[in-house]
Amino acid sequence: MTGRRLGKGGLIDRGRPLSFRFDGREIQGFAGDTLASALVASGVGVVARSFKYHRPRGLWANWAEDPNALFDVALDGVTRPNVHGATTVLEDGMELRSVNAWPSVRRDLKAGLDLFHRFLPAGFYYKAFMWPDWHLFEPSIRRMAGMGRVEPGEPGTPALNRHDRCDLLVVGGGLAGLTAARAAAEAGQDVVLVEDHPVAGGALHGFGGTVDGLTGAEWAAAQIAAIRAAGGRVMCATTATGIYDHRLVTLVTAAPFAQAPRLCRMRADRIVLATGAVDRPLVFDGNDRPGVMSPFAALDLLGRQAVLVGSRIALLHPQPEPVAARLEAAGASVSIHDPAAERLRVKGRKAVTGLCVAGCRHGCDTILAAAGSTPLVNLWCHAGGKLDWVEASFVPGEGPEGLSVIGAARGTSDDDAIREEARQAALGAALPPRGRPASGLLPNPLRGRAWVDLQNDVTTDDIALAARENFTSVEHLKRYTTLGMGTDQGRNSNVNGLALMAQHLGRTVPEVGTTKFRPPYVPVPLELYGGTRTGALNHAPKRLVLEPQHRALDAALGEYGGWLRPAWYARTEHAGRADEAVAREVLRTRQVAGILDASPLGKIEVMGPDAGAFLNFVYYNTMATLEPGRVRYGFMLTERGAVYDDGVLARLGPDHFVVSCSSSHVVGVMQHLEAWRQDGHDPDRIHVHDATQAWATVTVTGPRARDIVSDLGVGVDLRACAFPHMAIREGRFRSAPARVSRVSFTGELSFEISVPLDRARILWSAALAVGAPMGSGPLGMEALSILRAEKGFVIIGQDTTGDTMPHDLGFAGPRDRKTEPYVGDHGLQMEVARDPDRLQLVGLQVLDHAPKLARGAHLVRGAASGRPVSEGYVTSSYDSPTLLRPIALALLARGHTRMGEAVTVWHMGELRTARVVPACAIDPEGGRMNA
Amino acid sequence: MRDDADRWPAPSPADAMVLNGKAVSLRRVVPARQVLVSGERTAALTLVDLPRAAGWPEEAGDPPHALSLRRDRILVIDGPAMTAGWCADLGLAVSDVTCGLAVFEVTGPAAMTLLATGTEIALSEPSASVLRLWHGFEVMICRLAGDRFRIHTGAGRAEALWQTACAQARLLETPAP
Repeated sequence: MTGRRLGKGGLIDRGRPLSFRFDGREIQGFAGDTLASALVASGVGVVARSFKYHRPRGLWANWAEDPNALFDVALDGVTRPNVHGATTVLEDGMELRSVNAWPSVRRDLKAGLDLFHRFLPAGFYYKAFMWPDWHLFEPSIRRMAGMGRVEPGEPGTPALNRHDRCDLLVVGGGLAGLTAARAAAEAGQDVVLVEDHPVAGGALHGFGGTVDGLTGAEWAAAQIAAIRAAGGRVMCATTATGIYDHRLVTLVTAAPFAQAPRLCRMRADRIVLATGAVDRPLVFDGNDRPGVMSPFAALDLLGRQAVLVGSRIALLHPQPEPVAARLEAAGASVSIHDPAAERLRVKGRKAVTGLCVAGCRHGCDTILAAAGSTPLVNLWCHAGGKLDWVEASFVPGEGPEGLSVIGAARGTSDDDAIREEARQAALGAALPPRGRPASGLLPNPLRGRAWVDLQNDVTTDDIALAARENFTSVEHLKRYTTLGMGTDQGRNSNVNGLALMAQHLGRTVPEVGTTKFRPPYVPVPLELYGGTRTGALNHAPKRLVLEPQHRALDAALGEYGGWLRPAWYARTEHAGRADEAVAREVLRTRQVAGILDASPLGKIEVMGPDAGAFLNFVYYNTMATLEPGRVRYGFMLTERGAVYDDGVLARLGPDHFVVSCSSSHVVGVMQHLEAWRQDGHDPDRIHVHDATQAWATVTVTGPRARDIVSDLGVGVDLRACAFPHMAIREGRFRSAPARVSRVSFTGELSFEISVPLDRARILWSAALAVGAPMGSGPLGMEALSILRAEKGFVIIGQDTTGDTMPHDLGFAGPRDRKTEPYVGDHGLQMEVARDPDRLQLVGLQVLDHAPKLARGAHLVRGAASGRPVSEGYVTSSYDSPTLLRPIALALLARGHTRMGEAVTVWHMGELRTARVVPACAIDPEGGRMNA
Repeated sequence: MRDDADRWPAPSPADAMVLNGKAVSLRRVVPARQVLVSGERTAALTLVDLPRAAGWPEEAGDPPHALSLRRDRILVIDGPAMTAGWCADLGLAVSDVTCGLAVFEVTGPAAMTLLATGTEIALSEPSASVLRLWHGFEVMICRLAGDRFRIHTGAGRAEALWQTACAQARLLETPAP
């Protein structure tokens, strides 16, 4: 290939020269060039090395279907790997580095691999490197594989994502698309036209000639002006990358180098696809050599960038005349050859020097070769459209409602027919019958090395090998040979590969079938999908209103149940010794009082005359007898009887309840309640409001809790006789309503005080100030976890599995005695619920001053035989500051009947012994919390 | 045990949540009262003495106003004081969620575009409910008038929503490629 820039023509701006470097060589292009066109214009023939054999490769196509021209590109200190050369707009100062080549693309040391190609067929690594162990070879193969190099630490940029809608979306800005968009816009429809090139016009630029007396560029500009004048929208440099359910189309608008493209999710009432067609490569000996390229690419380079790809061109094409005429008019000498001729062979290694046809050599510097056209039907298939096999091409067949295909993508090649189709499609009318597309050629198994997939180095021999080894399913063929798995997603290679497989199997191409087309249509950066949801905005936790106060107390923060909560306090003082900080908080709570921010606890209000009966149905425990002013602990179960959530239910009045569920289960419990409210109940007599985030809760827990709360002035009689454990009272705090309940998750005397969020800071500060002289202080989540484990209280999800039932936790009463129906009733009566080997909650005590057990460690039998069998596992394990020994909770088969038994604990190959004890390790009578 | 205090920057104070741009401006507003009322729609509007509950994209006007969440639920902003609990006379459930919902006002020529960054929304696509998911957040989006909109979200999500909205607003201020 001896590409050169013509003195006139094209869409480039010759007044804006741009300088860039390719493998250290200084090159000049112009504004309007792509990386690839600028290289070809300056005579660069070899732009890359192939993936497996490191063979020299030149440009094959001038847009997204080009499989070869990938570069690592640096500009202004930012590097991006695997930049697609044929679609990336050239910018001044770019530094291009060829991928898959060292030290340079001209002299690549790994090119020697090609000498051993007989030993490197498809799937060779599946066979050659299995003995003695694949992992011995894997690092070396990983180093050799791949294309560009990622520079570590380079940040991405946030991509703008937005949603939009329109009446009609036209994809493709060529003759068909522009005609359709203009007709629809002038008919008053809200039209959006998307065109992936920076300048619309499609094939009109390449083939030259005139439309309605205008050049292709002039005609395209006139159509765009008319569309906009009629209220339509035109988005150039924008690619439709996928079609999803209900006509949602993702549109990706290219951005300058190293900036994230923009994503538009367009919902269209109707979609017209005018995506055109690409040349199908002709399969013959040496067809991967630099200088062998798509005829349409040569025309497109000529029309858009004024680049003539060669001076002596050999043309192999089923319909060669228009191509030859255009190139000859540009100054090239063109010789036409029969693409169906036998024994075609390329001469030359890093550049074409000739074409052999049936043993006769013809001198040339460029070979333009195509076997026909491949309609671009990827988007059609994303939407569920079927394909018909007509004249050796897959063209759109039956399709979904609201989607139509026109122009070359439909197999239509006549301009008048295309424009008629476009006008009909624009108005939603039935399309005229499809004519027969131009006939194409299919490859034959042949001698020599002929490439089917240029990017993944798949040859005709590889297809034959796959057929011999019975990888005959089209999906197996793809995975075994990697056919069509590159950036072109099979646009160049699929039909040829399928046709070869069909011949090997003695079937037709439709019988072989096609692989599944999936979005995205072209490669897109991952940052496109992330949008701004990166860093702290990626799965951001909910934030407490008291977070500034916790930070002021130097709290370590962690995510607990979707909220960012204090883990422990005074982290600087206890730097590197968090255990000490946690132990101090535990002891302080047991001896004086701890003050906990319990705001995330669920506060779901259930109201209405049927609320009581409804909650009695939703809870496992009997709630029908709950009196106003009282609180009851209970479980919510799944229909299968497994524990879904535990918490307390408070009754504020006859028709007013508050469900205080686990912090992490608020959303789920809301859905659970809403689902049952609308099923079997009168929804007008029960209403459920989630008021969790409207209230802040400060819990004061410990022996001195009553003293502290009494000084806060919440307007409630706190005496034990007036306010017993498991009761709730409504008072006032600083002129705002306050709900005070006596429930305990620590085993200590506890008061949970809930106030509107705007009173939280006053309440928190007051509680700390009142409690400080007594020796109380803030209590974090880690200390709370130990306090509740000492008491044997469970955390649902940590101390339970998805199969744990309430009687496994020691709550069998309602199952045996509750007479009214409830959610989970049936599940608890099933055989599995009465299995004597069920995992049951127990405590574990280590022996003789041994360290604490590992959480997750298995409790096993048969360890002595060398084949231990698990009987359960450790669910919680801590060093108890209160008891000065380790404690643990576990789920153990038949655990409730095994008290006092010594069990074997297995963890990471180590065996230990622990004794089964009751889960509650402190104050089993409950005297402290009932004080 | 892990300390992630430095992974999440301290939340912005409510009064600092102001962003003024050419395309879009954002600020946090604090309504005096927000109340959920569930039950039959006519009875609910009678209770709060408002003529209608706005869906999307009806112009709700400046508060007091009511937003339609679903056929049997409205959110009343700056309406009359009401006793929380079950209102037996009208068969309505009332909960004061004044502090539970953070509210942001979005204005400017690109306000609709900002809303459309996070959800499929258009003035031409009406909905009887103002409830939506916006960038994954459960929100209520209402139109006060013209290009003035409000987003209500759970108080715990205020910081994340604010940062998300600011990030989107900054992207909108940068010219399209």
